[in-house]
Amino acid sequence: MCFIYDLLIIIDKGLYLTQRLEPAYILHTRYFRDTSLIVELFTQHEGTVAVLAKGARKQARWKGLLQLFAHVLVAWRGKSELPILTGAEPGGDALILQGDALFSGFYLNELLIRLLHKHDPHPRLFNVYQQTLAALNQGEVEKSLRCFEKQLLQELGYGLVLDRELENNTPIDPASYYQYHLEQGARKVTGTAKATDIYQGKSLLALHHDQLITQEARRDAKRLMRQAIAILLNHKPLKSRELFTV
Amino acid sequence: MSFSPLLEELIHSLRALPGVGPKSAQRMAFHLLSRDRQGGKSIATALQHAMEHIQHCQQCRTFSEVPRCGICSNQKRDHHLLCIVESPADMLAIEQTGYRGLFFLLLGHLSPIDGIGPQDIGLNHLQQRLQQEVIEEIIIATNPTVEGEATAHYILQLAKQAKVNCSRIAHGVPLGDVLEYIDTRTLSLAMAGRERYQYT
Ligand SMILES: [Zn+2]
Repeated sequence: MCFIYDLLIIIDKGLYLTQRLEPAYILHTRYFRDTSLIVELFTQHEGTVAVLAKGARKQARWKGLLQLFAHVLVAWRGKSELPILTGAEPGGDALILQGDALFSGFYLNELLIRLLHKHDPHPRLFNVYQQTLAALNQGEVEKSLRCFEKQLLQELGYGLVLDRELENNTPIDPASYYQYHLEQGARKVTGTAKATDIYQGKSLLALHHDQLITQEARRDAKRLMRQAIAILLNHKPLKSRELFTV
Repeated sequence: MSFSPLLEELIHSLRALPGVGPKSAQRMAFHLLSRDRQGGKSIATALQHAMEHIQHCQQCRTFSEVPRCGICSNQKRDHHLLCIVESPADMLAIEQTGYRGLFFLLLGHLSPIDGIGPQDIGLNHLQQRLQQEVIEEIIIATNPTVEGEATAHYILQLAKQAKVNCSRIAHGVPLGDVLEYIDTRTLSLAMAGRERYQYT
């Protein structure tokens, strides 16, 4: 009996040691009971996952590590709604977002938590997230946010078509004006009506080529993304936008 | 088996306390009933009074049964210095360092994903204070977490707007710790916030 028990322990330890550590970013943490944390992760191969980090608020080893935006290597065990975090190690450079870049980081995390389904893998978006955090850290706030939003829509099956009218495949004319609809794409309108969903062709093309050089192109790109994302969020506002109100 | 209705109610109510599960609630109830009825009665009276009369200080938002708490109404303190902390416990900790200015309590930190924005931690109220009072310096003492950092940055913007000087308590390596065991982020912050080592 004793022998079998020992063997089980050895197997258990072996499993832990050979468990592949999964690269992940920490999107959100919240307190659970007195000493634990529920950690929402964006993992490279398994999408968003919530795990329970038992005693994490007491262990110095985990306290500093399980911080928002931290790149970690993690392992967890269990198939339940809330698996147990069994290992966590630093995954790379300690990225410290500050100022507006930090606020933008909160925005990214809120989008991921609200729009991705748990356990749906999004390995490509994971890479985009990683690059976006790095770009934010370099101070390229606006451009990197638009790129991220574009990729996010793509991943969710709402990729924007910005170089042609969806209905008839006519290339977008920089000088014309278009109404943009998330599902029906761009449609030419006559005149230069200033409705909230009307964009000049050159702005659509600028966003298509990720070349948001003029201020107008940036403003239009932001407006378009806001409208597209609002639809996916059922028009429930994003709390992180309040951070940009000072 | 179930207990009498009053006892059930007591056990159930005790579970409102943080970290108290069904077993501990039972233990507490039995203890008070069998060993310490007087203690139980004082808890009841104190709870009753506290829940009815303790509000937030109108100026600093700490818990207080008068509109302006003892610290805010103390004329001997420096009313041009304002320290911003997350919780009453943090306020007490700063107080113990010998600080003699005023406080502002956030009772939380910015955490958009939990639905906590600037208004939810009273930052609109702080904005008003910065505009109405003569404050020469604010000291930000939010926690060294990412949420604390975001909160500090937001407050910095408010200070900038109101043209008030702003400082922040230093992040660093805890006294008595060994560098090897300190996590990378803490150490990066300590490196970034290094100070000139003066010749004497
Ligand atoms: Zn007060």
